Order: sequence, then structure tokens, then C-alpha cells
Amino acid sequence: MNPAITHGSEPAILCQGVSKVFHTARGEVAVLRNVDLRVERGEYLAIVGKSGSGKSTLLSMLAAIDSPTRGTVTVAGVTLNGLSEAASASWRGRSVGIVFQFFQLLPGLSVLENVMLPMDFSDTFQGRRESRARGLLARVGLSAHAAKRPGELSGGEQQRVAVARALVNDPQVVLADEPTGNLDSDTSRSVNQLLTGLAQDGKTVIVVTHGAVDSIPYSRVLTLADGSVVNDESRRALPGAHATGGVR
Amino acid sequence: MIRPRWKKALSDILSYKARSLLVIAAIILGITGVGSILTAYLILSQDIRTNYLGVRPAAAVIWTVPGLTDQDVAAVRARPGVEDAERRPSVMGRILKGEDSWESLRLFVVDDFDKPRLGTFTLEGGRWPVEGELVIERDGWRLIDTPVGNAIDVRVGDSPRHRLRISGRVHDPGQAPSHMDHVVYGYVTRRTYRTLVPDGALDRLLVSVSEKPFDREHIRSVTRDLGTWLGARGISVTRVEVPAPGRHPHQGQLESLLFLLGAIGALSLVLCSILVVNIMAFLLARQVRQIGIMKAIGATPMQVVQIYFFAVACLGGLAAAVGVPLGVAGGKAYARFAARELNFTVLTTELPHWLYLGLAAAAVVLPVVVATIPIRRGTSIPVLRALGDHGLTALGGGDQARPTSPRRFSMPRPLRLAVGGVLRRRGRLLFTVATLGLGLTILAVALNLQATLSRLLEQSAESQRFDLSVFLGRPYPVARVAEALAGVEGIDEVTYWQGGLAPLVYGDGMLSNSYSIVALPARARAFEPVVLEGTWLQEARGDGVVVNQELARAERLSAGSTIELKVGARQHPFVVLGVIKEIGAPTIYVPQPSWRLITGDDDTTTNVRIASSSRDPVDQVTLSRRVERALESARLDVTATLRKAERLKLIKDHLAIITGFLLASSLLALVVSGLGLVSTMGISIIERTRETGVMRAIGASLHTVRIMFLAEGLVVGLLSWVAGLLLAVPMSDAVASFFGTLILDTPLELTLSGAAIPVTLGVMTVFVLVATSSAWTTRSSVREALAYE
Repeated sequence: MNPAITHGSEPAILCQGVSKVFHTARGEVAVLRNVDLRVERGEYLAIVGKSGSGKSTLLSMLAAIDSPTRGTVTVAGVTLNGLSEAASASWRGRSVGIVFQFFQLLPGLSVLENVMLPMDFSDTFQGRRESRARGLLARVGLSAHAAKRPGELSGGEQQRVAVARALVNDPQVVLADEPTGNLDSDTSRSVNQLLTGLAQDGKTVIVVTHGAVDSIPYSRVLTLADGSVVNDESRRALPGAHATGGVR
Repeated sequence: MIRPRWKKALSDILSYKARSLLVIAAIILGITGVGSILTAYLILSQDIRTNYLGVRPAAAVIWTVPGLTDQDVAAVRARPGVEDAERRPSVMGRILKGEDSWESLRLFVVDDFDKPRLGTFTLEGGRWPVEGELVIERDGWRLIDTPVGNAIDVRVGDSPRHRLRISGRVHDPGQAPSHMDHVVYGYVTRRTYRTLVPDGALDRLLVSVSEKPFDREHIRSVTRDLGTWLGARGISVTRVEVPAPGRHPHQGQLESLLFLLGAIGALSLVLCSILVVNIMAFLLARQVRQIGIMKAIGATPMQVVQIYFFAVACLGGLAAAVGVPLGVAGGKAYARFAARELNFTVLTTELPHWLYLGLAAAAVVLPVVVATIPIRRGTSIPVLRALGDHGLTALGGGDQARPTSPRRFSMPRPLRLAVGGVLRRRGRLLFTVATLGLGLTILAVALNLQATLSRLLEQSAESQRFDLSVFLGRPYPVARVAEALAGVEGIDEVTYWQGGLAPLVYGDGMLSNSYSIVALPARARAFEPVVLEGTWLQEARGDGVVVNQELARAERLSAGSTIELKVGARQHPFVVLGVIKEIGAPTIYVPQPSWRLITGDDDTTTNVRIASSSRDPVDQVTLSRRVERALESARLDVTATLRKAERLKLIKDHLAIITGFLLASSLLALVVSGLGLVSTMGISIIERTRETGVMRAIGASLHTVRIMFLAEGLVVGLLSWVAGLLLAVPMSDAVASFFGTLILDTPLELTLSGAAIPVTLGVMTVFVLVATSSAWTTRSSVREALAYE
């Protein structure tokens, strides 16, 4: 059992009977079928599966970006079903950090401003937003790039900025949707190390990935196929837990 | 440090410089237009009234037989209801301009130049006149060119010429401008007057009332009592005029013009707002993914909306910095121009703060308000969909864009591509066609109105089959006049009419202002007007008169109305047989035999119409001079001669200001609507960059792509042009009707301009070429185009 994972208390994530059905001209298409999922705090979970298996859809629901057709989703103690758009956005800003495949940085803002933006929307860390953002940039190794625009950075650097942005409101849960899908292998490794560091620091990290999971110390690997969980594998504790100096 | 959300708004403004500048330009145009009108209105409505009231205008003017004494005037001042009175005789004469050309002259006799009591005027140069001198109203120098200090010939009645020295120049805002009414105003002492008019002319009394100075009925009542009282003292009142209280003689014209311009200004503001909506819709379409990102990282819908409202407000603020001073400057310039034309002085030096604040607020608030729809719509896209937007689906396709393939009609491929591209986004197409079409409509309406007014002038010219009108100061035997004209070369035909001035008698016994009476044969070849209602004079109806539309409106008359004319001491009933269309002063046309019976003037004339044997305008000018010389030699009192060409020019000059500004304002509206096309085509070209990249990747040349966009632009332009012209016809009709009623008291019959089609087509083509020019200047490679987001 991973000592960083807190068992017995309220889970970080609880999905009960979650289904997602799209209605098309050709009939109903079930993207998720009755998925039950319990993720404890501190878990480092990988969700894998082929294209169309429902991984990203599941992640969208955990981020309150999408809502289930049936079932309930509870994240960080909040049931997301029925939240208004404003309420879910507000919750999302404070409670989860999202890392996207295509970085999703605002091109018109500097790196520093991109990292500060969630604090601006959530109205957190008043009076110390800039220092906090600079601190996070230092920890992802991008202090020197604070004034640059995202377009001036490499893919890997942009993704590290995205990680810093995801952490700026100190969320309980970090969701990463194919975070290395757009990066070369070396850069992917460094981003994965960052995410691993977050898990080692006790954050609940969930990564949707196409890539190989064996080389990354996930505590659990969930496999989806055709919208259903086909395998749920728990692993040993993170090697070098608390020794890798991850990002807080 | 600026908060990142506001920094994003500012960064968006800079990222889309061209679009941002378009928005700013649109707002500047709208604010400048409205600001100019509002500023001009504030200055003019206040100053024209101040100028006019500042001269202490007479509430009523009473003409009496000669012989009013100072005691009579003092007694009038003491009458109940009378605040003040001043004797100021006035007589029509002629003043020489050039070598042998004369202008009409109205001479006022002033007893005390230093202390006029009513109808005051100010000395602007030189000094007050003594005997043998006169001062001239400043606008008169647009008709004559003799400078102050020099002598000039004047003629009054049938007296010989006199040379008077021009001692000074005055400003009399109480008179209609000389250049508009073609009469020079001169002011002389009583001694000079006696030299010019030894027998004296009618005396004239200016009167102001002590109560209700703006109540015309009350003023009429006071003057009626005054007239009765004067009659009892043996002083016969021959005529009474009660002008519209507190209003400059040409105030109505000014107000009509301001109203029209205000309508155009408001329309420009509407068009500018539409343009802002259009551009904001484009900007937001480009921001879909960023909106998704912001929502994904915690921005509520309201926070996202605020960012874009802030951006629009910033653009509005920048526009206000330019538009407000431009608008105020434009308004001041127009006010100066109008003041010069209407001969009054702009007194307002400072404008109220609320004007500046109001315009600035409008520049900021109005775009925010109109941008609400595209902003709300653009920011309401769900997060998931927004994050999945790569520019192609949301911008080039999506719910609003339907795949179209106009298969019904076989057409060349490039045209099919163009039509397909145009029909892809029907909402935007409708919007662009409506905006550009409206701009073209307004231009066509302005051109049609010009054509209508030209036709009106032509009709006016055609109805008058004479080239020269001569107005005599009093009735002369026809034989005497004919004898004077007998030797004049260049005359083809002479017609002798009669006439004068007479008021209407109302049911309660009150009198109207005196109206011009023209007595002519029922079948006068020289005059065949357009009859709007009823019939022209009929020989069999000696009791039937005809009025022009100006009089019909003023006295609420129509065919079949009965009137009573007071000629001399007696009242004569008449029936209005018809109403004619005529540009000019209110006039009553009476059958000549009836007039002779009324006046006892059997074979006299006051109104001579001469047809020239030559159509050459130069010959007609020469004829006019010969006629003047001949009549002067015969010692006949000529008050005015007017060539038909001159008269038409006078009317045209009156209307030119209005039609000129209408055309200028329509061009303003057109520029704004053209910007709409530029914006839309620019949007279309940019958002389909990747699409055209794909086309080029599979074999289309850059030239083909450019032609496709040009064809699209032409399709949109042609649709707009057709829609615009179709709308222009009913709109022109409505405007002509409205304009005619407002300015000329009769709806105008629409004449379509032959220039409307080619001009609007040319303007549309230019707009299309400009709007699609970015397709011709792009140099992006296929790779760059395919990678475009």
C-alpha cells in the first residue's frame, strides 16, 4: 500500500454508476457504461485504453467539464451533478488542476500571467499572486522564461508552464489528459517526472495516457474499453516516495 | 501589475489590430456624426434665438397712411397691451450693382440710430449715416460690391437716381439673409428718406406687446385693438403683419435641416453599432478555444463576459478620445457655416459639460450594449466544445454553417464555389447584405432626392413661360408700361398682370398677414402651373381663386374652401378652386376681371412678365438690363426684376445646402456600411485560411483562390446592391414626400436618378475590391495555411 495514499477517509473521487450516452442520427452511442470508480487521496492513477474507450470523457466528468447521463460524480467532497456552469467553473478553479494535451495556454499573456490567471479568476492568494506564480515557475525550472509568451517556448516548456498553472491554486486533485501526447520522448520524461513528483507530495493525480505505463510509478492503472472498466490494477508504492523532491 | 484577465483583454485588442481599428473607426464615425449634429443643434437652436430676440424684434408691424407723428407714436406706447413702439417706415427700391444691373433694396428709415427701441441692429464698421448716406446690412455685400466709404446709386419709386454714400456696415439678424431673399437692406435717416421719397410712403409702426410675447393670437388681438384706435384718430391702417413670435425668418428651414441631419446621424450610429456587432462576432469566433481554456481553469461565464466587455469599453474609450473632439469640432464648423448662411453670429463659446460626457459615455456604453449579443453568444459555448475547437469546425463549419452545394443551377465551378462559400453562413450573409444594402440605399435615396428636386425646378421653369418678371411699386397704366418697353430689343412677348397685397379675414374678424395677390387671365399662356388639387382658374368662375401649397398649408385651405379677402376697406368672398405646386411665398391667384372689379383698376399693371426672343442666358441678362433702363427712363417705380434663371438659382441655392448635406451624410453612412463588408470578407478570408490551404494542397493555384474570394465578394456585393436598390425606391418615395412636406409644404413627386444605378454599382464594386484585397496580398505558403489556427 502506498503510504502517501490515505485510506479510510473520504475518497478524492467517487464515481457511481456513471454512464455517458450521446444521441446521434444513427442512434445512441454509449461512451461510458456504468462506471464505478473510487480514488483515494494521494493515488497516482493512470487511465489507459484505446481511442474511443471513454478515457477523456471520464476525465472531463471528473473536471466538471462534462456531465454524466446517469450516475453521480463526487470530487474533492463535492457532488458535481447539477452544478450550474458558474458553480462548476468556480469549483474547478479552486479544487482541480488540469493539464491538457495541447497545453492550452493563452497566447496573449506572458508565462507568468498564464500561471497567475487561475488565482485571478478564483480570487485566491491576494497580495501574493505574483510571488506564488514565480515560485511555481522556479520549481518547474522556468524562472527565466516568466516574461516570455507561450509561443516563444518549446512544447515541453509550455507543458511545464501548464503544470505550474494547474498547481497555482493548490488543488487537491490534478487531472492530466494525455499530457505528453504532443511531446517527444525526452520532454515527455521530464513532464512525467513533474507529475510523479506531485503524486509523491500527496496530491491525487490522475493521468489519461496512451503511452507506456510501466516506466512510470503509477500506484494504480485503470483500463477502459468500450466505455467500461475492464481492468483495475493496484501497484506497489511509488519508488523513492518523498525522496524525489516533487513539487508542492 | 494589471490583473491577468484585463491584460488578456488588452492583449486581444493588440492582437487583432486591424479589427480593433475597424471597431474604433466605426465608433468614431458614429460618435462624430451624432456629436456634430448635437453640437450644431445646441449652438444653433440657442444662438439663432438669442440673436433674433436680442434685436428686440417687433411682435407686429402696422402699416398706416403717411403722417404718423411722434405724439402718435408716444400715444401708441401708452396703449394697454403695448410694451413699446417705434416708427420705422420702409420702402422698396433698387440699388445699383455693377454698371447697369440693379438689386432690390429695402430701405428702413431710422429716427435715432443711437437708440433704436425695436428691431435693433449693430454697427460693425464705419459710422452711422447722416443725410445723403446709408448703412447697409452686412449680408448685402454678397449681392453688391461697393465698399464702405464709396457712393452708390439708389432708386426709389419713380424718382430719379440718387447717389448715397455708404457710411457703414451693420448686422441686423432680424432680417432674412440678403443673399437668400435677394434683397439688400439699407438704413437711412428721415432727411435722406425725404430726399428719396418726397411724397412719403406708407408709415410703418413696429410694436411689441407687454404680455404673452410668444402668443400670436394675443398679439393679433392687441394689434386689432390698436388698429381700431388708430382709425378713430384718423390714422388708417392699411396692413398688419404678425410674424411667428420669437422665430427667425428662416428658423423653420434650419430646424428642418437639423432634423434631417439628426436622422442621418442616428442612422450612422445604428450602422456603426451593426458594424461593431459584426466585428465582435468575428473576434469571439477566433476566441472560442481561449474561452474554453479560461472556463476550464476556473473562469465563470460572467468573468469571461466581463473580459470582452472590458475590451469593447477600452475600444470605445479610445474612439471617444478622437470621436468626441471631432464631433464637437464638426458641429462647431457646421454652426459657423449655418450662421454665415443665415446671417447671425455664433455666440456660444462654451458647450455644456454634459455634451462631452454624454458623447464619451455613448462611445463607451453603446458599443458595450450592442456587443452584448455577440459576446453572450460567443462566450456561452460549452467548455468541452470550446476546447475542441481548432478553428476549422467552429469557424468554418459548425451549427451555423451548413454545407452547401448549389446544385440546382449548373454554373461554372469557380462561381459555384463562390456561391457555396457565400451561402455557407447565411446569418452572416444576411447581416452583410443588410448593412451594405442599407448604405447603398441611403446613397441612392440622396441621389434620387437630388433628381426629384431638379425635376421640381424643371417643372417650375416649364410652368413659367416667361423669362423675366418685373414688379412695379404701384399700378401703372398698361399703355404707359407698354410704351416704355416698345423700343426694347429682344422681347418676344409681354404679359401684364395685376396684383398687390391683401390679408384674409378670419371668422372672428381678425386679419391674417398680407399675402401676395397675382391677378391674371384664367388662360394665361405665360403661366401653367402643376395643379395638386382641384382646378386652375376658370373664366366662368369669377369668384374662384387658386392658392399655392405654401398658402394652403399656412391657412389650412383646400379646394372648396371659402375665404374673405380684404382689399382696401372692403371684404370680398372667394372660393378656392384649387391648390397649385409652386416654390415661393404664399400667393393667391385671382382672375384678372375680378381683381379689376374689386380695385377699380381697369387697365393697370403691377406685374409684368416678359418672354425673351433668345434662349441664350447672356442675351437674357442683357435684356434684363435694357428693360430696367427703359423703365427707369420712363420714370416707373420698379421694385424688382427677376430673371427666371435667377429665380431658379435662388431656389436651388436654398435647397443646395440641404441636398449637399444629405449627400455628404449618406456617404458617411455608406462608408460605415462598406466597413461592414470589409470586415465580413476579411473574416471569411482569414477563417478559411486552412480550408484554402487544403485547396491549394490538392491542386488549386493561389490565383484560383483569389478569384474565388473575389467572386464571393462580388456575389455578396451584387446581392446587397439589388437589395439596396429595391429598398431605395419606396424609401426615396417616402423621403421625397416627407422632405417636400417639411421644406416646401407639398409632398414631392419622386423622380429616380439616372445616376443612382451606375454610382451605387461603382461604389459597391470598389468596396468589394477593397474588401477582398487581403486575398490578393496574402503570401502564406501551403504549409503555413494548413497549420493556421
